[in-house]
Amino acid sequence: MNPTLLQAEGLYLGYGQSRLGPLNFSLGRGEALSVFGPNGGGKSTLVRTLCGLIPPAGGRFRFPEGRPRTGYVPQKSRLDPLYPLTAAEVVSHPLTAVQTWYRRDHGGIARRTADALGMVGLEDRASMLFRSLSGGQQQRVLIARALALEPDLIVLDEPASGLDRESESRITRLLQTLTRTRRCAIVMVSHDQAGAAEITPHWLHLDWQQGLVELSEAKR
Amino acid sequence: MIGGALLGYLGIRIVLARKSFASSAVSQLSGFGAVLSLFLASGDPHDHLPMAAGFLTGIAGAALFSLSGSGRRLPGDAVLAAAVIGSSALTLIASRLLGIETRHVVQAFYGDAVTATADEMYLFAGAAALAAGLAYLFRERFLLTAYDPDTAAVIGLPVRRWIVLQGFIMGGVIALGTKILGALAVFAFSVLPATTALLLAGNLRAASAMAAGAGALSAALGYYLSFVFDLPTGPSMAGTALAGYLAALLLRRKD
Repeated sequence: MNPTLLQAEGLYLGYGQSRLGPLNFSLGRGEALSVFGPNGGGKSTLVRTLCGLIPPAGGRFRFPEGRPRTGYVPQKSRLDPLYPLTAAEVVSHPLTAVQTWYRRDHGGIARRTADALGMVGLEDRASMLFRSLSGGQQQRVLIARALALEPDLIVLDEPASGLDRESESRITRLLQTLTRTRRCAIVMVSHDQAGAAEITPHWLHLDWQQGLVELSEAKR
Repeated sequence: MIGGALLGYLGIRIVLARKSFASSAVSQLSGFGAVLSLFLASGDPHDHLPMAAGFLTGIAGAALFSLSGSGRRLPGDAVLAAAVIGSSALTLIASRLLGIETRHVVQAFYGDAVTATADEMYLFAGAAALAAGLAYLFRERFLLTAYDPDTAAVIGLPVRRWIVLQGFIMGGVIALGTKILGALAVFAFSVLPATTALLLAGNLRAASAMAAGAGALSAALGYYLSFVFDLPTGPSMAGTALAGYLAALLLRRKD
């Protein structure tokens, strides 16, 4: 039995009078949950609520072991493309930002950055500008950025959005490997339920318009 | 040169944030703050009150501008434009009501590299050193909160506080720089060296160094040319910065 990392207890998503819920589920280390539904269904709202970017409209997330170290993988379009940052800088900035300047471990940051880029197969792209990479490569850099933090929980917001089939397969294989070899939990938003099923049998279906919250059998 | 280099370095952040008119807005707001202090305290345009009031108004404005444009209704440059228009108009109106000629207001707050006093230079150098130190030490936090605020929040950074701090630093440098170098030179140094560097450099680190260098060079060359050809100093420095930008347009990198 995997130790429980997070629990949604009577959780409502939303803003003001518009709410979706209640959601009740738990997620343990090494487990993954895919979240799917139509555009505007509440998927990104769940992700942002889980990451603490917006408060829940009701209920709560409970973290029995304390709030987990979270690696957040946004949609690649959320990074401002005007900034001429290399892939290595995109990966290392959060690592550097969380350390105070007089205790910064530059060697450790460089090693973790290189390791993370190696895990996603982009070690030879470290010095290339992020904005000049392909969509699939950009998404893998963002996954590497999350991995470099050595997170307990990885939250991915549509990691395969706008990618070709090969890039999508690559990311799927990477996430499958993560669930097997790492002891972190994964929450992944996806449009593609069939694709997400390759990574995990546990799913959550959200549809705000219909007021629908449906959880896979194994997660009830 | 110190001013040119520092404003060039900070200008990278200003241009990438799409707030190139922030410098002009802060300068105008500082001028208005100086005149407002005269209006309220009936003081002498040449004592320390207008400068202090202008400085405080400038950094407060910069902090507010740094948060503008993050909502959905208005882009940041519209807010900056409103600040420029409002400050300029209110400065002139207040000057008229005070019976102070506008040129005296300009002299009190909008400086000139030639007429700056030694005390003002030392004050600016000290402030510049502090600002440069803070901007360098916390560069990753300032950057991350600018280009990916969501990820910054997830890893636990208080995003708004870091954005406001960066605004304070920039506002302080711009407000003091306006007194030492003049509004046009400050505006030019906070935009043109950065745009020059972003056209030529291959990455952000190189662009930041290049912008600082271009700012220092523009300041030195502009000052020299104004001395040799008896030209106004601020516009000369702005002109050399512009020349650098035009050269960069011809030599720009392809990504």
